[in-house]
Amino acid sequence: MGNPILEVENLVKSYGAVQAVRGVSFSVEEGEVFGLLGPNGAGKTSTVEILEGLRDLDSGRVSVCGLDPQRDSQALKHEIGAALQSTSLPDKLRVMEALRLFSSFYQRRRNPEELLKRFGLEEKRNAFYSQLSGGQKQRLALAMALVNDPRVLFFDEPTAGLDPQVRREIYDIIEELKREKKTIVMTTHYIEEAERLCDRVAIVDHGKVVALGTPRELKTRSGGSTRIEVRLAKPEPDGALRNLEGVADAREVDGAYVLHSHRPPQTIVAIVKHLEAQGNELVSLEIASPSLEDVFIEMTGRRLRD
Amino acid sequence: MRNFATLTRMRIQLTLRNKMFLFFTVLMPFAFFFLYAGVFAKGQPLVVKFFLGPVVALTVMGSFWGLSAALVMFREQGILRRFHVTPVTASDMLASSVVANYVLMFPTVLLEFVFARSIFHVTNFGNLLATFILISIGTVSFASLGLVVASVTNTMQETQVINQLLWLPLIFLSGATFPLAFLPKVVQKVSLFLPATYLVQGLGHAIF
Repeated sequence: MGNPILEVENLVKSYGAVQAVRGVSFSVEEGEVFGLLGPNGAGKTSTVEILEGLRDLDSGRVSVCGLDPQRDSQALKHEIGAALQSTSLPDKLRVMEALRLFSSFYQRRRNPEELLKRFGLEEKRNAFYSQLSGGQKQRLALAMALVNDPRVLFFDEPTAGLDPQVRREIYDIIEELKREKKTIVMTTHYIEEAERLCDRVAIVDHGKVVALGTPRELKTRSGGSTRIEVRLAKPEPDGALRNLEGVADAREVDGAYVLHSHRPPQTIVAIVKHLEAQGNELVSLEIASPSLEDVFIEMTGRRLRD
Repeated sequence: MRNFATLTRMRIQLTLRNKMFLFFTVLMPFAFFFLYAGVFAKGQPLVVKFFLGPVVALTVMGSFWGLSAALVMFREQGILRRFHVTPVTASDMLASSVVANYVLMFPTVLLEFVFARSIFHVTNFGNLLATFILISIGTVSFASLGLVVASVTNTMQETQVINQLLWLPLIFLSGATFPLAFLPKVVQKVSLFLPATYLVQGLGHAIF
């Protein structure tokens, strides 16, 4: 690989008896959008907060812009920008004041006026933080992450809790940053977000990276096959569906059966015949090209839900 | 240093926009002032002057309320975390809290003196330099008490409970509300352990 701007090696972090991060390793190239995808509690936020210098690590090694977040935290803070999870600003702080205040902390700054315009907050420049909608607050959070023109941006769950339309607005903003070749490390538990925005994705579960690659690579890894999801009137014994024609693998997920098939038409016919012979009935059937969700299910045996 | 100055300005601005703060820092001290001067002292200049010490002491002690509440709110809402990813240091944050509090409290005390003079015709405020020093030391000390409360409590509710527990003995057992001489011997002994007692006595001596 070229020149990583961020490296994580065997990162471990525990809170009391709970091991949140258990040996995570990855590296991020300059100009890349890197996603940590996983359910809540997978250790994504802990990992990112260690990279930002907000938390100390237990063991392992991390480096951001060639700096150690623990030892050189003061220098690092000039190089990074962050939109944290579950954070806010004082209710009575005005939008423009917030941008000015935060940019005053840095030597290298971007023009707050320009950020205000770019993030569509011009009309809200004199509004109190408490008067902003969820989407506006998030846009302000992203704008504030850019005040120092950082080398690496951290977005922790940038669209969590936002409605779909606002979420798409945030996607547009991140895509624009991506076109400007900004290095972004983001966490998410939305498949769509990771597929659409990230150059590479690490799927994280129970504090470990279970798969890592470009969304395309990950999807091919899941067999490159078509996904068939069926719901049945009666449960089928383990493995019965796996032996049908064209089926690469089959597993039960939340009461449905997810199959991957290289020859979908034959498989569907085989399913119907099999069920008839067993006296079982098809309740529903869905066909889809493989998504990152399939990769996730394959790696963890669980679905990724909000 | 520049971050500290910017933060101090922000804290002053925010506090002035906060109704709860205006109540505790501005309205309540004046309520005490007029209660003491108008009702207890019946407006007699010499008695008003005698009560000015305790009233100013109450104003100064009130600092720790708003300060601890503001910081705990900052922490609860994740505002401190946001500052923590910037080059702002914890000492910038704490020092700006104390200084902003001082800047905000001072006009209130000043107005108490102005009212004492213009409305109640008190002349000669004793040793002004000693008064100023006592007010300054008092404000910083009680602001620090606020920082201590903020650092040992986790939620706003806890903070308010601890503040009440501290506030009641501070105002009732320090001579700020009842003269110490009227209180039982045991309570007088207890009062020796309260920082408020020394502030009240010191200001009393300096002004009267």
